[in-house]
Amino acid sequence: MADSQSVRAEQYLAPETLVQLAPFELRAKMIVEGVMSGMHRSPYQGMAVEFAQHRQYVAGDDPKHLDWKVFGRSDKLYIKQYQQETNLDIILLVDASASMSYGTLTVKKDWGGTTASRARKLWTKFDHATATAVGLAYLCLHQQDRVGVCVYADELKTMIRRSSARSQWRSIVNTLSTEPVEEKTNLVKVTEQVLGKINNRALFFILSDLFDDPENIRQSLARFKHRGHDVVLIHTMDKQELEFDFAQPAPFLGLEGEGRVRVDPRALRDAYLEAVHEHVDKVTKAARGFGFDYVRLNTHESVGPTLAYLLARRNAQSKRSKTG
Amino acid sequence: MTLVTAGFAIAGLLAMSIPILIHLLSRQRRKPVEWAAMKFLLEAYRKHKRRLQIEQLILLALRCLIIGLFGLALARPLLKNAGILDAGGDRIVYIVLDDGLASSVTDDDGSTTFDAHRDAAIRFVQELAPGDTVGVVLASQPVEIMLNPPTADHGAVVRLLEGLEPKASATDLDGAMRVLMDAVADTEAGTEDVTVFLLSEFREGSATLDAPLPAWRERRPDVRLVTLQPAVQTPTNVQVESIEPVSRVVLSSGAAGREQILVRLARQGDSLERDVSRVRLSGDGMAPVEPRAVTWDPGQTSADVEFMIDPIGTDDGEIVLTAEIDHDAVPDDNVRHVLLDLRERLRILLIDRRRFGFEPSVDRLSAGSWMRRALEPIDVSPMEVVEVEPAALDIADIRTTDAIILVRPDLIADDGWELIRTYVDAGGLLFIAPPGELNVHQWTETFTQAMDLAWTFDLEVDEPGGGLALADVQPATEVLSLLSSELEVLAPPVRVYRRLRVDTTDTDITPVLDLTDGSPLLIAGTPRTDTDGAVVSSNGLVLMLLAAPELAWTNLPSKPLMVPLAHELVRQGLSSIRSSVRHMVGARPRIRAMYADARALEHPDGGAITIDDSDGRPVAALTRSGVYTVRDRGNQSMGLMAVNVDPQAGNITAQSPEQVDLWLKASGDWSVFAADASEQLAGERDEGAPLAMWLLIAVLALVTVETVLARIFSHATRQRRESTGLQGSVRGAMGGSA
Repeated sequence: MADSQSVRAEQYLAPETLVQLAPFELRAKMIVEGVMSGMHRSPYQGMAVEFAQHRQYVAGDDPKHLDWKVFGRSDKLYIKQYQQETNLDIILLVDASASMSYGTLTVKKDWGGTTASRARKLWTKFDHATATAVGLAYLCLHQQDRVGVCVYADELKTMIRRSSARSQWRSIVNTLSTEPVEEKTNLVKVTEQVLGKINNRALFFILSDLFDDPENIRQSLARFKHRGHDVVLIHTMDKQELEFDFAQPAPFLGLEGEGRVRVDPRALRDAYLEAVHEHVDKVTKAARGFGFDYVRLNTHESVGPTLAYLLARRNAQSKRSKTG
Repeated sequence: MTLVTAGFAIAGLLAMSIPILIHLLSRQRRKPVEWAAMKFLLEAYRKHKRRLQIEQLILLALRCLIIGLFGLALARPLLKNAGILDAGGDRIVYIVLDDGLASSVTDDDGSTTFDAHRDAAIRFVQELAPGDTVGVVLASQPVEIMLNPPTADHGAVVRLLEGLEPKASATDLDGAMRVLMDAVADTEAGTEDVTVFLLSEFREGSATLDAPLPAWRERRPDVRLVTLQPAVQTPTNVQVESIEPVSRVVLSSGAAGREQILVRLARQGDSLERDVSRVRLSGDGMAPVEPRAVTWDPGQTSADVEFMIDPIGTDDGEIVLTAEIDHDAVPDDNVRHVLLDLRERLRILLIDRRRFGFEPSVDRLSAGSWMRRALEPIDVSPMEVVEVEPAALDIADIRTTDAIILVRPDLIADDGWELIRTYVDAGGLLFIAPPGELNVHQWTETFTQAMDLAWTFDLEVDEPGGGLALADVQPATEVLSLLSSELEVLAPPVRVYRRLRVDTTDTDITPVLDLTDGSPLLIAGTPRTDTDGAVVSSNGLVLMLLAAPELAWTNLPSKPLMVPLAHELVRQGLSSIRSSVRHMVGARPRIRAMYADARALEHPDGGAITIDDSDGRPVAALTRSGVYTVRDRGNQSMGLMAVNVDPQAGNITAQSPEQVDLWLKASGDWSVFAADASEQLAGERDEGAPLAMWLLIAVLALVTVETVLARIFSHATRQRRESTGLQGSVRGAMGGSA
């Protein structure tokens, strides 16, 4: 990226957001197979220093892992297993479809922003999603995790390979801030493309307005689950999309080529909100069904509290599984 | 159902398109909202599309209905025969106001009869129900219908009435009623309550009881006819009835130099006591004369006052004479104007074949020679005769001519006749005599056609055996009025041996001199033109001697009658033409018949009235008396025009109430009220059934329904009360799973 088009990375991170995220460390609920040491548990047991558990010896186990002290006391063969701390692969999937270019919050001075907001000076869902993504990236890189980014719409547009290098964060920021936002979305196809490039298990953050068929979303999540990945769905919506608070009849023009329809918003508001509710419920249930986290962001609200709550919850879950 | 003001109904129907237009225009004008969550919006739209369309259609229909019904309510439909609705102001009232000269009778306190009638009309209007509509007709000439269609804006009617003043023109109640009948014809008989309120005192100047009013009973028996009691008292009023100069053409070179002016006064009143009126005669171009006092004997109704005036100056021009008496009950008829032509010499155009060589002997002198000798008997004559060849007649010859003497009509070409006709129409005098040398006079047909005169002549010359003398007793005519006393002596010696015979049954013929057998020797007539069914008289005069003034036809040229006859025919002929042109207030005189290039008439007190190019008359009736100046296109004065009030219009003699009652009843059933009870009339009405009030109630109800439905359909209330359920806590943002 040319420097002239780059955005100062600091603009993406409001001080209050960093303050809210600072106490938390992102912990993968799943065991990642990292190659570098980190703060996440590795599924490769036995080679590290931290004891994990005993299990009965079965034929084929390496005898060197036998716990002779237990054998001496109980006359039974047990294998000692250890937990190795490793680093986490984080993949940020950012939706850059045309619907993400919608926004109603006026951009204030020094907010930064992306190509989507520069034209109309409105803080779009894409701006909010990228801000959230770079915040997460900052946090993950800070704890030595490898972070990669995939920008998608109807297909995978841009991919930044995973890295925990210091320059990775700036690279992510520059890419996200200049990405065009104009195509339709196709999460199923993108899922296939992404999973084709990721071999090891990773934590995926999907930042999208999820304006897709819930069944498609469910299929995508199933694919992630099948490959053993963890997913956090960050559902980004504008306040107006959540409230539909228009006063006057007007023609509405779809951003992804849905056409144009003239409606009286006041008359349709209930039905619209019902449809949104139904969609959100289906997406939430699909995420829960696979054990994934679901977070809904309002572009008019601060990212900090919601993400802080998410990270706190994941920490708690991680500790419970560790002790349990 | 009929509509009082159909315009509102049409406007209402047209206004019904306003909501539709607003709807369509707002559709086109609104900028599209770019929307990301189209998926949900389309889903909601598909689910509720039909319901929303029905809601919108209901609202649109309600709004159109409200506007349409409101327009209909303003149009005030009447359902008189429906019998289901109550009265509430559906009457159409026409106020016919007599604002003619006779209505300007002034009381001691300075208020006029018209003021009282106007106040009565205002009180009447103020007492009308709000929905009643009012039209106003002014009965002075020309009749003016001021509010048609009638209006329900009573304030505007009152303001209109307050601004009215009596006029100096005659009252035309008959014309006003006919105009009104045409206006009422637009209303529907039997379904609309129409009242005609006539405010007049029915004095002689206002109501001509000989002429019946239009028959309302036959055409619209349902119309209520209401009027006031006729006047029963006649205050004393003196009017200048006329100013009669002996001749309106004054010759400054005349031997006497003085002119006799007769001012005639008329007096009306219940108690005509001994009284004195002072008459003042003034004018430009004459030496001042002392006022004269007229002493009225008890019961005397008319008086003549004689003035002798001395014209000043010798230049050609017009003298404006104004006769005036003291102020009395009717001020407008106390002044009268007349114009006199002041001429140094009269220019006579003699159209005759020019002769060369020695003058023939007396017995062979031509008609032209005799006429020249008669008009110029001495070297210094007030008549100047100019000869012109018949074939060489040109407009330049006749432009400055006072009279044309045509003794060779057989030699006049068609364009020559057209010129002569134009001249006569403009107020010229034509004297014509048959050519002496012809036995068959076919030219008479051309002549009568060119002049539009219904005169029929024998083509061949009649030669009564032994000749015919002029009768001892001659008809009394204006052209020979000054000679009438002498005719008894001068006429009998004249004998006629040859003559043209004319059919005396023609009504257009006015005999001036008769022969002993009763047939005329000299006749007079005025050309008349039938234009679009209206007969228009020329301003000029045609005199025809039926015998050529030659000794072979008559011995008139050699008799003493010849010279005074020729002079009087010219001078009094011109005077007769001038006196026949009388302009009255309230009329639209044909100005361009006399002044072809006239552009405007200017009143001495200011204000000009333009001449209408289409008919050559002023664009509006002349409403003020006085001496108007005729202006040409260069705003130069072309002449003067005296406009006076019609003396008969100012006749304020009260007529018998019984006779007035009979006269009124001949046209319909009139209800008669006292003037101070006019407001009571407003409360009296036929049982009508106005729909307007109910329509307005319906409109209000529909407005309420529309408001409620619009509120419900807009979902605005619910929208504010309810939250979306997608806002709120962080826990909610986590999908409620935490």
